[in-house]
Amino acid sequence: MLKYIITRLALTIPTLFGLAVFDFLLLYLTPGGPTGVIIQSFRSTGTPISPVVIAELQKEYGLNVPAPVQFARWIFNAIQGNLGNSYFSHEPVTSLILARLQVTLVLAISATLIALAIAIPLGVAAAVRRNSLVDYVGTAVSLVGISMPTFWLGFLLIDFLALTLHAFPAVGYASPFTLNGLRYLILPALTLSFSTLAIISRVLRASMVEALGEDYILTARSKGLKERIVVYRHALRNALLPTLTLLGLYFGSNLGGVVTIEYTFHYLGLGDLAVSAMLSRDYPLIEGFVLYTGVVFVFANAIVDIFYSIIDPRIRLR
Amino acid sequence: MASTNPPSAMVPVPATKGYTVLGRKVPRSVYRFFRNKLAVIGMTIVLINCFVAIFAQFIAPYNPDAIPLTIDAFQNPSWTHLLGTDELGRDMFSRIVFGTQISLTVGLFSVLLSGTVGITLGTVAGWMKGKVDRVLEAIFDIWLSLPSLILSIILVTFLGAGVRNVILAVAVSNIPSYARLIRAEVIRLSDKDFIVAQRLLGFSSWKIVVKNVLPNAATPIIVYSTFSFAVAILAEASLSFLGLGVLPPTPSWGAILNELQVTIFAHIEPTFWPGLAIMQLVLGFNFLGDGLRDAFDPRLKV
Amino acid sequence: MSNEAPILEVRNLQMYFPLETGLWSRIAGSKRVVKALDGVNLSVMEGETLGVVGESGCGKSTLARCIVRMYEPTGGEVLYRGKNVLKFGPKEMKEYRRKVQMIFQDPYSSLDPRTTIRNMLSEVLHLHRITSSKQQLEEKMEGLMISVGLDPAQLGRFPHEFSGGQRQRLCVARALAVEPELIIADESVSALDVSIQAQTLNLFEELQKKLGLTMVFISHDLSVVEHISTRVAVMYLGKAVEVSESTELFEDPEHPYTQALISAVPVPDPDVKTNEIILKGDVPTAANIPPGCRFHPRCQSAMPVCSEVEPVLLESRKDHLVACHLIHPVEAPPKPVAPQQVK
Ligand SMILES: Nc1ncnc2c1ncn2[C@@H]1O[C@H](COP(=O)(O)OP(=O)(O)O)[C@@H](O)[C@H]1O
Ligand SMILES: [Mg+2]
Repeated sequence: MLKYIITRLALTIPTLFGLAVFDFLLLYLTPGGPTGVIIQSFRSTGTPISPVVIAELQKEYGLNVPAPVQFARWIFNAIQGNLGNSYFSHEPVTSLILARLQVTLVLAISATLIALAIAIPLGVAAAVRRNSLVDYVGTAVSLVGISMPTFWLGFLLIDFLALTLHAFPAVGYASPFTLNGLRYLILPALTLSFSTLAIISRVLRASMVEALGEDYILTARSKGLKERIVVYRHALRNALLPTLTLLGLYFGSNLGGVVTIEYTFHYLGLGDLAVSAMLSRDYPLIEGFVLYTGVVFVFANAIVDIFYSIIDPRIRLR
Repeated sequence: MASTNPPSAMVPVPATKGYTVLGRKVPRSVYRFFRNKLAVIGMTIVLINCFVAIFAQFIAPYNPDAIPLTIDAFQNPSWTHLLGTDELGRDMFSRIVFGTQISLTVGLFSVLLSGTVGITLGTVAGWMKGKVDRVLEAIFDIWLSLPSLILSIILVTFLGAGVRNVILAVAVSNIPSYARLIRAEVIRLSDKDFIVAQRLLGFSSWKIVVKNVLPNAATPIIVYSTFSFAVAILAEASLSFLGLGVLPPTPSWGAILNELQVTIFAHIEPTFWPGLAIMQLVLGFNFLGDGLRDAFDPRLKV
Repeated sequence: MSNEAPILEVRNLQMYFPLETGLWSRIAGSKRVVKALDGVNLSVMEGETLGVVGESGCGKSTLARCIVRMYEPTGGEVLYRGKNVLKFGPKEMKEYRRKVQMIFQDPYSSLDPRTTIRNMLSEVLHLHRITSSKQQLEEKMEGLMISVGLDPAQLGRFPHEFSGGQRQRLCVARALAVEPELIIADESVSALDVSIQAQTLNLFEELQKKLGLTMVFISHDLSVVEHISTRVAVMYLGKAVEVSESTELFEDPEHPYTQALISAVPVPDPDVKTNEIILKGDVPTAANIPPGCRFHPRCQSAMPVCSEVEPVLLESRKDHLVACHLIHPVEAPPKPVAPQQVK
């Protein structure tokens, strides 16, 4: 087991290295390459640009050496947490990102908890009373949930919960670590939870249906155990494990959904930071975002794999 | 060799039971598909959208980009403006009708592009096995080290906005999952005796892949492509909504929402329509994909 | 028979599969292997049917796959008419493909579900330029169908429209299309109903006689092999342990393993008393082959030498080879006294 965990974690190293190479090369995708980017950012400051200035800039930004050397320097700095400064705020990219990453993780975790709080009762009820109204509603919710653009759901919730019922502030941000901040957290978290909820409730329903048909459940029933105990203590425990593992997978891809949702709600997390960086072509910040998101995503996936292998040892044989 | 050997096993083959759809004899899987209500609904939605996209000029009552001289922004739905007007007084219905074209174009071309590249890479990995497979797998791992929506977002940022780059960005982020799917399918098939038999008969790898392997992988490919349409349409909407994909004033559904976002406090109602448009089309492809999978390849069901 | 040169000869053939292919074992340099074939020696004479029997997992399929180069053996030689198949280049390989064909076990997975029988056959005939005109092609395909006892009118059908037995006939037709000299049938009747099994075996026999084919007929089922073979090879854990003319082998087996196998075959007549030899011990696996004679842990007559020295396949009578110390006694080598062996 330990061997598998170490192997799986070791496998993330080449992947992350590849990601770093990709991240580094991104600048070369832009018209004009990295030099062009810098020239552009200086043009906006009004400094006159002559070939001499360009050469100076290249030297200043370390672009006068061959690309592999640039990469080596870049990655050496990146490992030490130095990803350069933002073109605009001139603050270090790392500290900008880390502050926002906290917020986004709180958002993603809250969304996951909300999804669980709704999906578990919904999935169980749908499995216990198959083909009942609850089951149909659950199915409809999931079908719609996976087909809905999340940011649009955000608008619907703003319309209903904020503008009509005045239950929450429509958009905006206050640190989620304060009581006031929780009010701002709820709408984006609810929105983000929906697609996870849609899938988790369906998967849970399926594994509950399976678990309820197992021998030990029939035995428990025949022993005269209360139906509620049978369902919650025995069947759910077995059905929950695969579902929770799947949750890890969606937690990772939620990082994608976070971007549009934070933008919709003007919620000051990492996604919002990334979108403004992209709209203003703040390349060091974008590169930092790519690196951090990749690291979180790759580790989330590795942890999911490790969990899977604990639940189902056959996986390890692959 | 042509002897008059008594055909000892010449048992008449039972005629396949007749399945009919609209009075025509069809294979069982087609029959299963048409028996599935959601599948038929999905297909209908997709067909209607295709129709709307093709005949947009004739369906849309107004020029989608025409800004009227008199100020009549944010009108409520009425007989003159079926879905009301937007912040510049443009006809929402006409804009949404033309938006269908963009969604379907992005969907179609990104699926074609990621399909072609993904199938090629996946087939090479699954068929060659060994070192080539390991190298490609490592590349797919790197490729998948960002959530696919984030990869698309980053790619359009660096490539620049516009329909062509959106297609490219969405396609590129979908290639590795395509390739993984095909790879698994090719590995499954290449163990089958009929593939081994073809090799022993002396057929080249190329011929076996084209004539025996890929045709047998057609069903999962078609099913996955249908779902990919849904994913691509959502991705385009997200990119355009963020202002990075298809830019206003082009009437992409996501771009319309991007423009309306500024004024949601005063007028949130108009955001309903483009969102609904996105959802119905994505729902249509998801239903269609579910239906195809259940009818043609029940093995794929989760 | 032994004077002629064999059509196919397998010399000291080895196929070791790495046991772990994971990243870890590559890093750690783990060398554990499954010895699916561990030095097989066999020869097949022109026109005969060589039966190969042995328990499942003893390496029969691996042997077949190595002969047709589906697997690249890790050691040894496969000689076809004296030439080493393992050294063939692409051109010689294409010729070899025409000469040697294989029939598989599962008739359901050995035909492409998306290809009609006509397309399947015509592509093969086209590839090897066996027919030159359209009319010739059609005649050839019809002839193939008739020769395996199927109706040529069914050429346009898809595999799913045929029964299991019929499909196995279609596989035979496909193999015959390239006009091979040697056919390897790997458990080719094992998946069929008993009544269909007999029909199919008869078809094989009939075709073999009529076309002068050489056959290697692999099965775990002794009665099937007895029915069809002129000579039989018994395999145990990746090695041939006894090879002899069929009747002689079944009437007077020499290797204790062969004796045990034969005694375990159910006899149709309940009055006949059988002395079934029950093999003791667990069936060892190819990943963990016992030292000395690989059969000794299960052998009733095992002697001390059997756990020390590996017996060699040698002639005991004319054309009867066996690898057993009971038949070919050897001196046990002086036992090295290792400390841990002293109890
Ligand atoms: N491709 C392979 N990779 C690893 N081990 C294999 C492979 N093919 C066969 N083996 C192993 O080799 C041994 C012999 O298998 P096989 O030739 O299929 O036996 P048989 O056909 O006699 O039942 C078995 O232990 C099997 O697990
Ligand atoms: Mg076998």
